[in-house]
Amino acid sequence: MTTTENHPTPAESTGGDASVTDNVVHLRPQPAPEQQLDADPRAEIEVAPPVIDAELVDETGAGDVTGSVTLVDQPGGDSVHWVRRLRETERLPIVPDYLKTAQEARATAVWVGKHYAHTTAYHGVRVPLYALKLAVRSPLGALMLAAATGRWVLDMEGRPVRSGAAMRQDAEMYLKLSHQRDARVRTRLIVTGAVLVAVTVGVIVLMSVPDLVPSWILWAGGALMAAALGKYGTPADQPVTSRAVVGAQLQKLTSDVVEKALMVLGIAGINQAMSKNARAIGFTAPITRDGPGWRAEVDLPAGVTAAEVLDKRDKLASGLGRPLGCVWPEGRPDVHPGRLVLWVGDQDMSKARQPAWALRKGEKIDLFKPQPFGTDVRGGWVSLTLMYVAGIIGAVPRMGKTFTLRELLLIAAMDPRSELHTFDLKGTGDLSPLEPVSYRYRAGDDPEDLEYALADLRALRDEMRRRTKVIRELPKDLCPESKVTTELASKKSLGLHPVVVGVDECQVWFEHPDYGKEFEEICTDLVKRGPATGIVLVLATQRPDSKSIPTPISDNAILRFCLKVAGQVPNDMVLGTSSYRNGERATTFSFTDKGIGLLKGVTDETKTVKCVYIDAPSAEKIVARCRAVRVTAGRLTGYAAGLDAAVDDVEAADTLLSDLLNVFGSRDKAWSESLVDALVELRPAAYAAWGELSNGAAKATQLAAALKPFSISTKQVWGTDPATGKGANRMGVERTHIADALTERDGKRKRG
Amino acid sequence: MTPRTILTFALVLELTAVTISDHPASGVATLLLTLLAAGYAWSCWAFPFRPCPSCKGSGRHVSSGLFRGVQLCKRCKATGLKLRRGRAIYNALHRHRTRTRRNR
Repeated sequence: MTTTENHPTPAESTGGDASVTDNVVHLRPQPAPEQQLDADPRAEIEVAPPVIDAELVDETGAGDVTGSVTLVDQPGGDSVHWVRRLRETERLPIVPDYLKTAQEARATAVWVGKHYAHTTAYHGVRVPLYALKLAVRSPLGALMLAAATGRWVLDMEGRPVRSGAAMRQDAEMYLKLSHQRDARVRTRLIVTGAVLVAVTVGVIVLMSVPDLVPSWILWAGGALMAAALGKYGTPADQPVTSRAVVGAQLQKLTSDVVEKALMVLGIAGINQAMSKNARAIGFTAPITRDGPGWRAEVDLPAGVTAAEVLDKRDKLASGLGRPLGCVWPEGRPDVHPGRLVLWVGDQDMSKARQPAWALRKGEKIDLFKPQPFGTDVRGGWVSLTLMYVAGIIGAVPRMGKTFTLRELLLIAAMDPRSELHTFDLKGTGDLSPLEPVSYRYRAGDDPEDLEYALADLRALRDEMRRRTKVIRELPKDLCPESKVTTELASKKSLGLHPVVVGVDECQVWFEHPDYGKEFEEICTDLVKRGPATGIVLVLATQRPDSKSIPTPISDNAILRFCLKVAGQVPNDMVLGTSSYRNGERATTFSFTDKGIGLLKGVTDETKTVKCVYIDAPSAEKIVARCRAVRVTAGRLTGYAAGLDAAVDDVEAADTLLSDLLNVFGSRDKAWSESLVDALVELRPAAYAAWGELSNGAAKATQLAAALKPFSISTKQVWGTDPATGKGANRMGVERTHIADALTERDGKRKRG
Repeated sequence: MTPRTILTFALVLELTAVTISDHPASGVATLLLTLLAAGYAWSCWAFPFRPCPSCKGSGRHVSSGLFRGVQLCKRCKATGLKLRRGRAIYNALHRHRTRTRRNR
């Protein structure tokens, strides 16, 4: 018996105590007691119909819910307009990749030709062996042929049916089958007999009549028959010919393998999602061949980013069961952070053969256009424009850092307009192949070499200032974007040719106790303002930290190439802050990945690129060609032309000390300003700029800066002003310091 | 040819040889009998049926009366063929084997 609000339960109606009412279980939810009191009893009756039966009827509630529901997922399919849908489709190439360019088509044709030539040669060499095998097997073949003929003539294939009829005592069927067999055997006997007779007669005729057919035809026929019999007698599991090529054992990449590999990474997001839904890892496109490997486009489970997977490239390779150099996951932040493009190569990148470098001939090129620099993981060329950039190359030693720098400088050398400033601070002569085309060249880190470099950099800074002026004054139609273009660079009169400065082991410069600051200052300036004026600075260092590449330089460099590095700090120093966290990790390279690094600043995403391997002899060949091109173009200048003009500047720095000694005369100490005035008098050409300084304090500062490299500091000196005759304390220098510095330098030079 | 068959043949041959050496007369008889059995076995394999003994292979009976009435042979169901005894025994054995064989 069920109750409603209006109909009290028997227990209630009988006025039972609380313990009794507690026992009553309401089958319908009861409104709160106060509501029951407030409500009008008649209204209650209308709302809730009395339930006569014991069964619960709940019509009103259900009806109310359906009326006001809005579904989260609206009905209907894709509401995207069809034009838009078409726009978002990807068009597949009409002509396959390997036929796109004439060069590639030719390469493919040559490769296919070589393949078949190899197969032909392989079998050609083995023809005698094959003949021997056939001859040995021919008797067995003859026997087997005879047996097969016998079986055919006697209709052996019908025997099981006839035997079955006998087994069933089916005499009628047996009779029919016997008749059929008899008829068959009759015809087959006749045919076989005729053939046998014909063959016998033919052989007898051929044997008895000597010159009916040439003997070689007989021999050939006999050999052919023997070969046919031998082939017939060959067991299926021992073929006559062996394999000329063994098909590459390429394990196909399947979605199963990818899913398993992603699940072993230990990323909680993936494993949780996969345990709930086995299809949590989505594939947006079929896994296809892409270059020499497989490409899978994966949608990671919600909340997992591609960077998390990129971190664990080694684990991914282990999960896929491939060498580390084969597994190249990439993120696609332009689609969404959870999109992962997994490319699995057939061959380790460090072992795969690189296609021929288009620039290996040393032909004339235009530095303002992209030039092939290296190959990406798929074996396609990555091009970079050396102009308008400043570059940093970083790696642990022996990973191909110098080779990379040399390659960049070689590319630069191929443009005859370019002016190469080559500084090999390691001093082993790795960059010596570039000597014949360099405008400035030094190998080593002796003080003279550093002074030479400093003088060159000072000149470069002046040159940059001159260039900015030239560009500023050029009419807008010639120079629309206020930067050097290839047309402007070609005009000799403007002097806006590309200048490429390559420095190996640049930390030697910046860590130098005396010159370090000035090197840093000039390089920062060149990195910041140089690119627009056609001056390119490429620095290579093996220990990139804030000391070896000062932060202002590393922050402003556009082109970054990071080969294997040891840890997060150098990685971020070369590739930029937080690049390690974003999954750009050059630490995951192995020691066999020589010349393979992360290239940043050329394309939107950071790419793994393998440089071209150019050894010293081939580099020399390329340079020889470049030099020839330069000679014909009349562009051979500076060091390469035997005009190492920087010597003058070095002299100026050199003569400062002796000049100072000269102007000191017999005095022990002197004011800086009077010394500067005397210097201007002594050598007006060299110190003219100093004389133009406005007051004594500026002159003193200038002298202090010039003496700093020699570790000579200026201090308060008592002297007499020649104009007024009054004594005063002003900044000045002591003679003994100058003399000491001079003897020390001379001593070093003698030793060196 | 199962090993058992070969063994059986060998045993028969040996027995024959022994018998011939000991009692030439009975030995020759045994040999003849063996050959006869082999011949019969072959005929059972190659020709499982023999002409019906009742109708002599014609499959019908022609009465010797005035009208030469023809009646189809009932024993061979007008086929004129009758299964050889040996084949029937072989069939029975074969059926028994296929029925009772555990793994085929």
